[in-house]
Amino acid sequence: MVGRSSSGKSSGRAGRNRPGDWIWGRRAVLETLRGGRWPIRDLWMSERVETGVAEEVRRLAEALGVDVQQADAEAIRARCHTDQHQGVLARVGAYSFWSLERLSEEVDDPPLWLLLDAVQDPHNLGAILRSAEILGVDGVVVSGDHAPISGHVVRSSAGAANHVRIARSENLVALIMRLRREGVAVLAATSGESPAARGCDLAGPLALVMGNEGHGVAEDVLGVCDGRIGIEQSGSIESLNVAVAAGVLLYEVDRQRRDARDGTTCSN
Amino acid sequence: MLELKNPHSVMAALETRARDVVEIRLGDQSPHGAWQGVTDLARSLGVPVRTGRMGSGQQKRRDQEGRTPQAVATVRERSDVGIDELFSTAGGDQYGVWLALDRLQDPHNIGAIFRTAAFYGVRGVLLTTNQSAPLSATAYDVASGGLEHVRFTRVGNLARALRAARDAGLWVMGTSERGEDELSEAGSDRNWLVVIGSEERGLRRLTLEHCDVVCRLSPRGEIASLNASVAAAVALTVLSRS
Repeated sequence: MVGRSSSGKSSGRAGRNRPGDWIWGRRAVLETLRGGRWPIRDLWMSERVETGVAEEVRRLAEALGVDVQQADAEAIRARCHTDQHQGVLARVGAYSFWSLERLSEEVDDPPLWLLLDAVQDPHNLGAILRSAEILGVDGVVVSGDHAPISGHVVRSSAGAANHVRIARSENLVALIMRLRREGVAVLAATSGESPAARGCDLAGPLALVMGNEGHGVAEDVLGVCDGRIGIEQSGSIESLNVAVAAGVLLYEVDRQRRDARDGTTCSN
Repeated sequence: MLELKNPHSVMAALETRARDVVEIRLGDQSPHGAWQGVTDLARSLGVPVRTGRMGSGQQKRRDQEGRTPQAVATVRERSDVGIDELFSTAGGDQYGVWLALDRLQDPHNIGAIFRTAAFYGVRGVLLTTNQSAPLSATAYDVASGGLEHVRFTRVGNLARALRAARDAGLWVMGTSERGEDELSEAGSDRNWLVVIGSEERGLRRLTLEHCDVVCRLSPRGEIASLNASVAAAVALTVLSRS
């Protein structure tokens, strides 16, 4: 994954996990077994894992037709190079993305989409998925030269990568134009002079676009959005980390939607 | 000594404390983009800029965009301020916001929080030293200059530091999903010190006892709370609206 192109177009390989990506820790492995988004290639467990967790791992693994291999803590550590495995380790294949068609059918009313244009840092992607789950995003779409949905992303997301619906788009511009035809307002997060989020009506059908860590949302993507959205700065630095900005914007969407719902309840 | 790979973090160090920038080492290619501005400023300030001296080992840690950096800068760590100095502006005409980070383990979170703190003009950051990630090069690079713009104090005993904050006229706010108050209802009519708990364990009982108020961020979904850097940013966003 070194030396990826800087163009906003998909490079094909970027979205696929390396063969033999690792997911470790009780909660992360259990959620991976339950979620079914990654094919499990191998599963190791230490004898010292507490009975309840061990039984649950065995039950889920059996349902998937996966053997549970016994290994001591040191052998597991030798594979994943960390002490934080808690006696459970899975080697997984590539994340299976949701199809955009299926995602479109399952969004809420009003829908909330989060479109990620070439977000490349796994920490950022994980933190974004975590916020997306907590703050009610219906579908996340990754596009361009993005970080793969790896074990690293699973950990950074505190497991949310197993719950959030993630699709992949080869053509973000076409997707945005389709969403707009369907009545979804598409707003691109940009730093500098942008309308502040709290001044925008975010309670209706909405898609937020977050850009790459270095160069932001690509020009061709910006060109087809309904508008821009930003966060009011009051200090000396002009831009926020992309995961932080996504969290702040999603929080504002959630706040406005809760207010709108509460308002509806009061008037009835 | 820090080895910084984000041109924005190096630029901020040059602008605020150039004498602590020991040298900049470039790869084989001539600098472009943000590094061009960094090397131009460094040369004008008399900071050594060496070419073809990056070394293969130093290229391993990729920058925030996932790429091998063009250059590496050796920079001395920034110094803490004393705790009295951290809170010295609390008596001024305008209310402000401070942050306390209670045993944060992830340098990415610490860096992102400093970047957010600089974005919102936070007056100062308290950090714990025990069971906490150090202010490493990763934290400086993720902060993207934020660590140069916000004053900080590292303390061994957070409870004592929170008492000092209250004595200086700050109100201490904990953030927790079990909080009884809504964050959005906190007024901007006072100086706030917002305490952010560790990624795994949240706030300690002793820390909670030193809070004047504990607020929740109205979480939904299956995961109990937001990432620490996102939670800090949400709190600062709400408190920055006066």
